[in-house]
Amino acid sequence: MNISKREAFLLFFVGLLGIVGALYMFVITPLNNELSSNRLYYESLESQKATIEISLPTKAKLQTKLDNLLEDVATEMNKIQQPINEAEFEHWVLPLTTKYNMKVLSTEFIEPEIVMPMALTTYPISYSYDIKTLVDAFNNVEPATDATPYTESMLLFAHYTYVVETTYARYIYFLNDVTAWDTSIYISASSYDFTSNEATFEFDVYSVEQLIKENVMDYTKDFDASGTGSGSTSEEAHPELGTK
Amino acid sequence: MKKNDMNLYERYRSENKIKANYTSPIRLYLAIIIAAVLIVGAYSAKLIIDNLVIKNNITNLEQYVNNTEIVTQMDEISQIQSNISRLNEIETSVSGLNAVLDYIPRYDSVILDIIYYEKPAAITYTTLTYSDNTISIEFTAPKSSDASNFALSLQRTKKFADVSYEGYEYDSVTNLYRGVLVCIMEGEN
Repeated sequence: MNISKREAFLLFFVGLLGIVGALYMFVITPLNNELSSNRLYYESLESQKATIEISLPTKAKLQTKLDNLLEDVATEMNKIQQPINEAEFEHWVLPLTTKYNMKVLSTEFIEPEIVMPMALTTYPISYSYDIKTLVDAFNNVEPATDATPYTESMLLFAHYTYVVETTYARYIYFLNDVTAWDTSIYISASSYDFTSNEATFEFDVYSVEQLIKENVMDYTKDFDASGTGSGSTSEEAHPELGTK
Repeated sequence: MKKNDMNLYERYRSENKIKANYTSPIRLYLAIIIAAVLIVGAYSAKLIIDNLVIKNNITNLEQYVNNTEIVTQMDEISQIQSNISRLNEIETSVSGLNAVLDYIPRYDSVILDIIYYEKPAAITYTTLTYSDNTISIEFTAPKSSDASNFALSLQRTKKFADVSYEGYEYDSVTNLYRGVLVCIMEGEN
C-alpha cells in the first residue's frame, strides 16, 4: 500500500502525540505526583523538625512559666471558697453562734445553683431631664459612669439562712467575724429586731473548684453547738465611737 | 563560435550528492520519535532520582521526628502549653469573678458604726434590716426634725450611694415619731 507524504506525516504526528501523551500520562504524571506529595511530606517533616528544634530548648522555661502561673492562679482562686455543702457550712457558723452564746432558732439551706455573681443589686435612682442635662453641660459636669465590675463567668452559689436570738452587740461581733473569714462568703441579708432580740443572717456562699486546695477546714471532728441567746450588759455594740 | 566544454562528470556527481543527502521521511520520523522517547525517558529518570533523594531525606527526617525520646518530650511540651493556655483562661475568669466579689459591700460594724455615730442621740432603732446592699433602719424619734437631721448627717459622710426616707408618722401611744431610713451601700473598692 502506498501512502502519500502528507498521510505519512499525519501518521507520524499522531503516533508521536500518542507516544508522548502515553509517556506523559503513565510515566511522568505519576512520577511528578509522587514527587509533589513527597515534597509536601518532606516540607511538613522539615517544619516539624524546625518546631522540635525551637521547642525542645524552651521546655524548661515553659515548665517554669507553668509552675509560676499555677501558683498565681491558685492564689487568685483561693480567694474564692472551695465548694462546701450545708453540713460543712454549719462547721463555719455554729462555732461562731456558740462563741457568742447565740440561740439558733431556725435555719434554711437552699440547694446550690450556678450563677453569674453581681457586685451590687440596688442602685440609687438617677433622674435625667432636658434642663438638667443642659445645666450639667454648662457646668461641665460629666455624667456619672458606672464603675461597678461585671463578669460573665459563672460559679457555684448557695444560700443559707440562720435565725438566732442574741444581743445587738453580739449581732455586730458576729457580722465582723464573718467579714474576718475573708473569703467569698457574704452576708447578703440580715436583720436585728431590738424588741425580740431576734437576728437573721442570710449567707451567700460563692465557690469554685480549686486547682490547689489550701487552708481546707477540718470537717472530720464533731462539733457541739450551744447558746442561750443572752449576752453581757458590759458589751458595747459600738465601743470605740459612742453616741453623738 | 565559442565551444563550451561539457562536464558530464560534474553533473553525475551533483545528482549523486543530492541522492546521498536525501533522507527518507520514515527515518526522519523514527529519529524524531526516538529522540522524543529519549527526552521523556531522561526526564523520567531525573524524576525517579529526585524521588529517591527526597525519599532518603524523608527517611532521615522521620527517624529524627519519630524518635521516641523526642516524641515524648514534644508531648510533654504540648501538654505544658495546653495547661498554660487553660490556666490563662482560668485566670481571666477568676480575675473577673474576684473583681466582682471584692466589690460586694460588707455588712459589718464598719458601716453600722458610721450609722450609729451619725445618729441623733434621741433616735432609737426599732429594727435594722440589710438586704440587696440596702440598710433599712426603723426608728423612733421624739422630734419631727430627727429624721431629716439623721438623713442629712448620713448623706454628709459620703459613705452611701443614697440615703432616703419616705416620711414618718406620729404615734400618740408612745408620743414618738416612727419612720424608716433607707441607706444604699456603695461597692467596696
